Amino acid sequence: MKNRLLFWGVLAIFVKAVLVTAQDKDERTLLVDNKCKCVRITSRIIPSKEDPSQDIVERNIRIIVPLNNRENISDPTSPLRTKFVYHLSDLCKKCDPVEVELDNQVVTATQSNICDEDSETCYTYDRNKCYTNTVPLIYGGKTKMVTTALTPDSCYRD
Amino acid sequence: MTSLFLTCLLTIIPAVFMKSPIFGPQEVSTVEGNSVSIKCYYPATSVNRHARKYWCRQNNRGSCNTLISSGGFVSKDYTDRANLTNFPEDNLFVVDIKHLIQNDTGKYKCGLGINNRGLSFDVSLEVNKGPGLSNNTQVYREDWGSNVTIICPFKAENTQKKKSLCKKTGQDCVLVIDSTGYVSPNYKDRAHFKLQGTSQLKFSITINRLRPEDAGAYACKAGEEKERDVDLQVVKPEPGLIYGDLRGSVSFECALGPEKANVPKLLCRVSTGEACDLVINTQGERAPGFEGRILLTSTDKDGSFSVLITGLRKEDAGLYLCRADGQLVEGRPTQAWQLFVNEETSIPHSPSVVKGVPGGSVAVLCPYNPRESNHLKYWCRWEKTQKGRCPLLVESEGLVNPQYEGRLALYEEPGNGTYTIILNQLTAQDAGFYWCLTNGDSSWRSTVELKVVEGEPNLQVPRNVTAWLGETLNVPCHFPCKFYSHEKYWCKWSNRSCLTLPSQDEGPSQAFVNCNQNSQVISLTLNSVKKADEGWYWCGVKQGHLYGETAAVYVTVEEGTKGESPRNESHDASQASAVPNGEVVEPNVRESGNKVVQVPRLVVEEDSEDPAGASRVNTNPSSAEGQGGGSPVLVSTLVPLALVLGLGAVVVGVLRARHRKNVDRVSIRSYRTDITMSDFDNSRDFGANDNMGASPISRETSFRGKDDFMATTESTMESEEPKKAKRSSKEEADMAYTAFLLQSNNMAASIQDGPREA
Repeated sequence: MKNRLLFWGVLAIFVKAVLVTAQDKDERTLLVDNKCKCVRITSRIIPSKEDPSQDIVERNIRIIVPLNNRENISDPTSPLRTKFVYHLSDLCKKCDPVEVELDNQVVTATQSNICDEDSETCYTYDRNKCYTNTVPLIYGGKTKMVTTALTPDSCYRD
Repeated sequence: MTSLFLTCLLTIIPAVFMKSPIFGPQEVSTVEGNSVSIKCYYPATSVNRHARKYWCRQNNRGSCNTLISSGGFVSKDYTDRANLTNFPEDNLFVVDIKHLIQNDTGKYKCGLGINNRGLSFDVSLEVNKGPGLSNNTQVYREDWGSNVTIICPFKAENTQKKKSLCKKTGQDCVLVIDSTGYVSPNYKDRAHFKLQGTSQLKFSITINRLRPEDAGAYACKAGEEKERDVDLQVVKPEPGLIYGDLRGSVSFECALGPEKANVPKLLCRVSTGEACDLVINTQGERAPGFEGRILLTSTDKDGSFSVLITGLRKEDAGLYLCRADGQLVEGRPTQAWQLFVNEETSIPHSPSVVKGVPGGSVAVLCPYNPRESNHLKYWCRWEKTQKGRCPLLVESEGLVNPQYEGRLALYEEPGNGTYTIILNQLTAQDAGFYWCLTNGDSSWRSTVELKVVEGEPNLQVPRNVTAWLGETLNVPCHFPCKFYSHEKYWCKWSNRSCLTLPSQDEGPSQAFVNCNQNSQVISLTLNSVKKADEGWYWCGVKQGHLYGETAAVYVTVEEGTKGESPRNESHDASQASAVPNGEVVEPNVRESGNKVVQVPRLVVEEDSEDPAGASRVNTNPSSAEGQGGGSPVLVSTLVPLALVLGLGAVVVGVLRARHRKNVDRVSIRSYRTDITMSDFDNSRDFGANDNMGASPISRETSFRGKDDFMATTESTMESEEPKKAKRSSKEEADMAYTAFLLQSNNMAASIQDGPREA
């Protein structure tokens, strides 16, 4: 039952997304591009529907829910993830260090506080990161723990 | 079942929203039987170099069928006629397809990863019929801007009839030109009719300066009868593909041919609606948006040149044309490029503006490709002259431009993708644009704008110092409070770099008004100065591998007598009152001791130099006292305070003890003769709480306790429960006593009455 609801929810989000893109190719401003939770939020300024002479800001939120991923993406033996939580406030945090000028001196600072990247649980793989897991392999009667790559394309060392 | 459905949903999801970073040719047009080579660019990351690459054809249902992929798959249709090659160093892959047929016309995608996930580029392939005759249709194929001659035969019986050429538009055929001399306005001055002589049954029409609109189907007519169909194809030149990174740089190579060697040429960018905005031309005019980030270099005598643009922005993407100046837009543009700016770049943000004060210094961080740490690094100044030049100022081998002697140094630190340039003794003329280059990956060039603003330099150091041959030289450098935790150093500037020298910390500086304690004077001391010591010296700050401000001083070495030595000290900002006689004795002592090795002459002298040390101590008497005075004051205030507090605590303790002794505890107990749980409860209501922080839950338990005890209380008490809440325990005790007295009276009375009744 929950899966069904989830499915309809995802579908609804996508229908909205498709409709929006079908309209026109406005220049959008990218607000959030979270590769860990696969959320992309963009905004653009369009004329208001009620009063075409006024401009309003339209925000588009695209969420791709990876329904077939495990709770711990680095561990394929963990159970299937059934609960996906998206906090808009956390997603919209600007944690990238930005250079700010103070008294003719340039300082790097982040625009939001509580920026602790390590504590974020990822729902899907980030293409640029390498995810590995250890697997017991029996070879010649001995069991060895071998590190395998869950995302082989990202794990090259060049 | 649902999971299967859901996974299907995921695969069908089309690409939405943002521009994909993959770039390829938007339209490819070719002729049957030819082959095409399609280049697809991707961002230069490790993942992309190794990911699966594919070429697929879009179908009506919205999905894309793979035709060939880097994993080795080749569709049946493409066997033996296509291959896919990856060029990881150039971050692109190429799809070659041979023996094209008209059926190959359609929409395709080239991309990375899994089809339909959005990491792809849409390519439109058009395969036209080749030139020649087939089914009574003559196909002509010419380039945009060139000429075409259409030969129309006619039958003998139509010799006397009017001959014409018309262009098919929908159902109608619009007249273009005919034998009576009529020419359609679209083709005015471009189309010419010519009869091939009376004996030949042909007429020809020549159309000059072909435009893309001229392409289409035509019909040769004699009278009203259509003699032949004509298919005219106008080939638009395919623009070259240039893949640039955001904040990176690209270069356009414009070679228009030797015939245009002396003609002024320009590079322009096509904006909406046919207009081409000037970017730069060979006469030195530049668009304002490119100030400081564009260079035009003429390479050869044949008039070819290249345009270099750095600091790419998102707005720079688009179609660029290179042509001779004065040429009309309709004329064939001779060279075109499509520039794509990849936003998923690994080139870091570097500050585009750096501010310095006159007399101060700036430290500029320049990024380079971390995989090229061995390459040479340069710094050059962009000049506004005609075509823009960027003469080198300094390189990692050493200084190039002698005008910057003593002012400029290049450090390979912090390394790992960044190097530092330090320029000091700034003047207003130093403002402008500077470029960081390496001789390796050219796309990592960056540009920085130096602005000179009002202000005072932070570090204070004497400008010129004269040293006397064979004597000691002491140069102080004053560091303000904000550099308290920074590492401070002195170094000797040379053409190659600035070599760090040992220096001495001389305590707080007096040169700053607002901060005294945390400012510092670091001195450079040179013993028995030699001629080779002449030159520029820098004092500066750094934090780890990050360089900060510097200040420069020039030391001249002169031969002179000792009588002039006090002048040395007068240059000291720390108002030394050293005794000249003391100085006379010194050098001799030092000379003999330290002649052996060069470097240790400049050694920190704390032990050996007692007289000088003493003089130095004298020069900073106030500061020393200030320091020493600090601690006694602190001690003298803290100790009496502690004593007072201790005394107070003792007194209070004694008083309380005495009070406790006098307190009559027993009497309170005697009041509480018959105490029930209800008493405890009521006292809490009053607020006579021992434990103010007790949670209400504890009251609940006592409430329950009250219920338990309810049953056991005397009946007299029960009826008075509600009223009890207002009374103190003492009052209750009084009540109990009075009740007892009443009861006893009643009992006595009843006893007395009893016997009477009897």
